[in-house]
Amino acid sequence: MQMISDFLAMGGYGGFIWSAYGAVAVILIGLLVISLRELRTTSAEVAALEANSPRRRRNNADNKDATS
Amino acid sequence: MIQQYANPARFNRLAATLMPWFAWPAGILIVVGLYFALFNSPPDYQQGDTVRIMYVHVPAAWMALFVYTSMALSSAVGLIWKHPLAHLSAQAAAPIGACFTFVCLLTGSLWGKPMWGTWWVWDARLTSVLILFFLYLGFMALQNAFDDPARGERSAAILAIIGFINVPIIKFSVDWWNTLHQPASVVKMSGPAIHSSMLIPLFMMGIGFTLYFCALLLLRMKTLMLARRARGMSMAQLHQQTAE
Amino acid sequence: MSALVLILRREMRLALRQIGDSAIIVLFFVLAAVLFPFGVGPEPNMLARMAPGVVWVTALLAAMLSFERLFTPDFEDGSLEQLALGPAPLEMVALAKAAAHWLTTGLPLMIAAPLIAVLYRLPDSGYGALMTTMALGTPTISLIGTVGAALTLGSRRGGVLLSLLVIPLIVPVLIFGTAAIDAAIGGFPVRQHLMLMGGFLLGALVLTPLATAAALRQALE
Repeated sequence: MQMISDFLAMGGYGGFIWSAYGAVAVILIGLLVISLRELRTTSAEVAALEANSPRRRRNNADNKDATS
Repeated sequence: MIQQYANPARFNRLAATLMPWFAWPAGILIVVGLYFALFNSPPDYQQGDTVRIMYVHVPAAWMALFVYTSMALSSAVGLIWKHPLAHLSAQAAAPIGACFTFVCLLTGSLWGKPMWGTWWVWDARLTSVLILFFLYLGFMALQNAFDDPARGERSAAILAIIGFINVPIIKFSVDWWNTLHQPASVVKMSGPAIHSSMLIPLFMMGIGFTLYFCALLLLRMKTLMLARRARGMSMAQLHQQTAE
Repeated sequence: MSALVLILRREMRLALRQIGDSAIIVLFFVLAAVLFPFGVGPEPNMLARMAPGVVWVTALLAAMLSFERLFTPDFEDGSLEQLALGPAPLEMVALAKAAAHWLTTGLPLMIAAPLIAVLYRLPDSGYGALMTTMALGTPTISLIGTVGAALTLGSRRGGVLLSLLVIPLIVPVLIFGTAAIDAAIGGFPVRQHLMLMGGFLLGALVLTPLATAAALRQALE
């Protein structure tokens, strides 16, 4: 128990060290989560558009993107 | 040779192949690096345990510069060779770089308070990183400021290149202006000035952050590509509806 | 070279027709500088200490206000396109635009600067350095601001965005401009600061027309 609290205290600087690491975790994981969510919503959007567009367009979509 | 990856389907295949090679080592290196950083590295004889902040602060500073460099390079590629993926990669990299720069500033502040007794000093390195942060924000703002996305990405690309020329100038002028920050201690002609027990976790975190960036870059590029496609498709459908 | 003179003459004619715009910029400069004593108190020593920084920062902010309209009228009425199609290279057009901007904004700011220095009781030894740094620094600001104006041409929220882009790039000018004045007041050599500012000006003179022209080209695409 003593060891754990010593570790958490970090020689008296625990507040600074843990908030630094906490901020890093929040920012880097947050960015990852936001990016994943964006990917999911955008793929859903594309899938929805594909579903109600005529067949001809669906086949051409890849080539058209490459040139644009 | 790069041209063939301009095709979205090919890019997606390549990204899918590369992704696990970036994502897994990134996760493992960061977790192991954190273990060493927090449990298995000695406290500094001067700075005590606060030196542990270095293991996130310094790699974040490396990434801030590395990501900006990659952004400026891909902007140049996009402007010169008109490669469609290049602008996309700059656009995808900017928020990641901005986050790393912010992490660097924030952890630096949390390290400065116990060591220097203040959250912020107008010191050369801090100030030039702050300006780098503004350059990232300016890049993203300029990119989104136009109704025509193609115009935004080209304008922002020119800005990224100007910033790339200007960053060393800013760096050296603020160096002259004021200095308190300790000089770089890892990369030196005479070899690193810090002990290997600290250097190993530092490099683990550095490589882990780099791989994290690579994986996230691919993911964000894929999203941007899909978004572009969605835009094209909804435009096409709109045209068709109005034609009917 | 004659193309440069022709464009410059056109710009000056247009600018002189709207001389009120320059007057407003100078007025803003003076007004912003006058605000500081209300904020920090009228203590003479402190004001003298702040003088170089206040003059430079407010001059910079005043210049920021003037860039937004640099290309917009020409862009909207199509004369920018004509200039681009004309015989003169777009780099020359960019240089002429920056020169005209300096003549109509930088120069008036420079002339107004000693007035503010007097209000702030800048020590006598600082005036030479103030005018020299202004003479070297304001053209650099005009050149860099021209790039920003070309980059943001036709964007939403042009003015604020322009400041966000240009201010970080101008920091070195600000640093050495105030450092030179401080050095002159303290009796230290000023030469190296001025040499560096001259270096920035020469560098900007060579590089910014290229960047402005590139930005204009893709705005017209």
